[in-house]
Amino acid sequence: MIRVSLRLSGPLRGYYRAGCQAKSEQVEIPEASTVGDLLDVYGVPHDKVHLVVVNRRRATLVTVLQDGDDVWTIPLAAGG
Amino acid sequence: MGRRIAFQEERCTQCHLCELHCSLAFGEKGIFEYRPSIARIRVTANDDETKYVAHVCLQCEDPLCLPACPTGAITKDAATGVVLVEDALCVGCASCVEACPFDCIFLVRDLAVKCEVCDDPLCVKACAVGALSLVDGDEETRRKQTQVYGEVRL
Amino acid sequence: MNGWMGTILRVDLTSGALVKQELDPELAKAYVGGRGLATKILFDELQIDCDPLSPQNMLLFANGPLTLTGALSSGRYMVVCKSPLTGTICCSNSGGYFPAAFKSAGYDVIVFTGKAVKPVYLWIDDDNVEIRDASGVWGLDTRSTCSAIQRETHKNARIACIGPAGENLVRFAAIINDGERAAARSGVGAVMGSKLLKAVACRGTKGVRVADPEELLRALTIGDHIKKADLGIAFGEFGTPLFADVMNANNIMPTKNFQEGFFESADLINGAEIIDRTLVRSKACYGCCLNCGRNTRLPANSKYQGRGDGPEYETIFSLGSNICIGDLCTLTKMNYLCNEMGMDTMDAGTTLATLMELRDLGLIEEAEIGFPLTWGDGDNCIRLLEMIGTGKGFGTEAGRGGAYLAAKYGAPQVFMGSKGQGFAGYHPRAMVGQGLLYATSPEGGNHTTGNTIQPEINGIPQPMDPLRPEGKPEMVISRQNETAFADACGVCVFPYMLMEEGTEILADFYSAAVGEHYSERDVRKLGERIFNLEREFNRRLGLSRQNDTLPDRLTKEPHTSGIGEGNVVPLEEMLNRYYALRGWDQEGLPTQEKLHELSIR
Repeated sequence: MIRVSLRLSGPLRGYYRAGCQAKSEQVEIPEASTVGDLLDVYGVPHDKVHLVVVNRRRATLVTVLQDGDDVWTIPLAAGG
Repeated sequence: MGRRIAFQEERCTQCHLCELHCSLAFGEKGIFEYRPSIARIRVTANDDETKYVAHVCLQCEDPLCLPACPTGAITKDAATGVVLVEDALCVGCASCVEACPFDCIFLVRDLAVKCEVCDDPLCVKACAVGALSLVDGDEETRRKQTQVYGEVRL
Repeated sequence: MNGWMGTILRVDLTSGALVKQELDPELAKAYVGGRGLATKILFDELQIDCDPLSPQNMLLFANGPLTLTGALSSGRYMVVCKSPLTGTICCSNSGGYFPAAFKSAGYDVIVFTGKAVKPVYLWIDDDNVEIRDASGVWGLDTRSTCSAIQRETHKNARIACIGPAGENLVRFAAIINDGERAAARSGVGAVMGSKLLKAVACRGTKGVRVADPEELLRALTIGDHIKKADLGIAFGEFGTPLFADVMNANNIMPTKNFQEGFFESADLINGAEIIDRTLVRSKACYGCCLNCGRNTRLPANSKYQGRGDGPEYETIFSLGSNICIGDLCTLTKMNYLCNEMGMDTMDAGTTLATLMELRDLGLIEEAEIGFPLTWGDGDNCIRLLEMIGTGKGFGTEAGRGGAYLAAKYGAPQVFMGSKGQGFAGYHPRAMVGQGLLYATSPEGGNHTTGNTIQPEINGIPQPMDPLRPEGKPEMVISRQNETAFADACGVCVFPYMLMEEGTEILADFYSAAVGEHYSERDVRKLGERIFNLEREFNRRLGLSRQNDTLPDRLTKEPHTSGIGEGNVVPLEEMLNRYYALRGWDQEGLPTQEKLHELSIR
């Protein structure tokens, strides 16, 4: 198993287990899990995620995660 | 008996779309005009901006406007409960406007006007947050609506 | 006339003369309204070399033909004048309820000329217009001004006013309407203050005629679709603060005077934090289904107290990440102060950031400011903002703005803006199209003339790489033209920006209101004309390519860490292509052919 931290932004925060006021969560997932696998653990629909950032770099749903990774998922943007 | 437009204050965003669209429905014949000053639903907020309120006639069980009218222009429909103004009898004295404690009847072009519950209310369609609905009864919402109209005046 | 009210109100503050002028239908057709019509009037009539704070400047308030109609988000107006911050043409946009009010009073444009002998306000009650003594309200904050003037005029009067900042000619002073909404950019509040015009109050009972209301009723269905889509849901729930997360994740959230694009504490000042700690309820401007407005209040146990609207994303950047403030209550208090004193939160923040960096460089002494000013020092930032707004101590110098301070203290390259106006909350090193937008904006670092978020970050209509220049000149031109048209119509750009077919829908609404068919192509042409008119105005002031700049920090210093690490803005190559596509020469000047094609002059 590996340990990663997950940040869910905007409306995606509804998927935190600890409640929507969490800022991030630490979670254990199997080795060689992808970002998509992690989202499945949380039940986050893939089409709600517009951008994935892992360790401050752009990633995708098929990016393979390592122990200690910081995973951030972002919805579409609106405003100005 | 009890047909009216129900308003739920906690949903209101103060967008005035109801007011804007009501005015379109009641323009002079043949003219398409947005004119909020003739609307039968009017939006306001309290001083500290914690409450946003759309005033639209409650179609009261015992309307105070009715007995205040000197010409008998105001009646209450026995079947629907809607309170109606007969234009031909209205002399524009504004006694009804004075009498209504809820700011739901207005003088427009020297005639009293109020919500008389359209068949397919444009205000309900225009509200993007579901604060308005066409109901028959719904006393729970009526109580809260009555209370907030008394608290937040136009 | 369908759409327009047909009247321009001219107010000469020197003589007190009030004149109602019929709006020329040909002029309305050519320049539409709002930003277009007001710029045209200024172009034709302004003594262009005037000092923007002199009586010779003209100050115009202009709504549009779609204001107060059923078109989506139909409650906006523009303030247009020669800017005291940039010295260029400027247009400052605001929503709330005031724009609909002065339209319902019967006016498309209000033109202020001259200067009053002593402070005055304008009271418009349908046809009845009066200039009234404002000595009783001069000096009051914007909220108190509104209450006081409502007591003197009508309890439901809608009011646009300046606060102490405009009175003290702070170069980034704003005009605040309905207590919380702001025509904030370019120092329009200072122009109003220089004329001793404290406020414009109005109330109207007239109507806006339209040709085809059925078509306009489509807005209800379209609005419904927007609100049910993911983007609409997120926007309604979080408002513009939603951006804090998106920009930060993309390494685009300007931090520490644009030294970085990522702020560690962004999740302490974002939209979720506002919902959890300060949000009272969401709020909408007149005629808008999107309720992105944030009605907020500082909690009882907060260090600071107050209530108001916001902060919006731009403030979260300018008074948050860009000066390293990672506390929502401090940021919110600064936001309220700026609204109450009547100042642009964006340039207020850029000015603070400039001073903080000048301190780091040892170019300005603590004694000169009067107290320390380090990154993230909320208390002293609040102190300085109050001094700026009220014109006390170092506040008078700071009120001249960041470009002035950076130049004065020998480090002009420290000012993060262009043409003298601070940038918006998007770091161009990781969003290069936005950099091109900033550089080519008529009034400097402004994002409202064509924010590139939707194409560059959301990838709508097609994916774009925010780090690369390919396709950016075309995209920026398209965004600028469609935005100029929207700004002329008197609508908010947000719902149209959220839809791929937004400009086509706006063209349909415009056609339906005015009773003549305009295709998407037609309205883009109208927008192009307006944008070129602004360019021509600036050309007459001597501006050209040499003013379409970005600081070296953005074009020469590589982006640090994260997405876009190593990236810079390839401005010159984008400008070459941008000018060519616009039909301008390589000095950035519209050619005679282009001006002729657009019937300018």
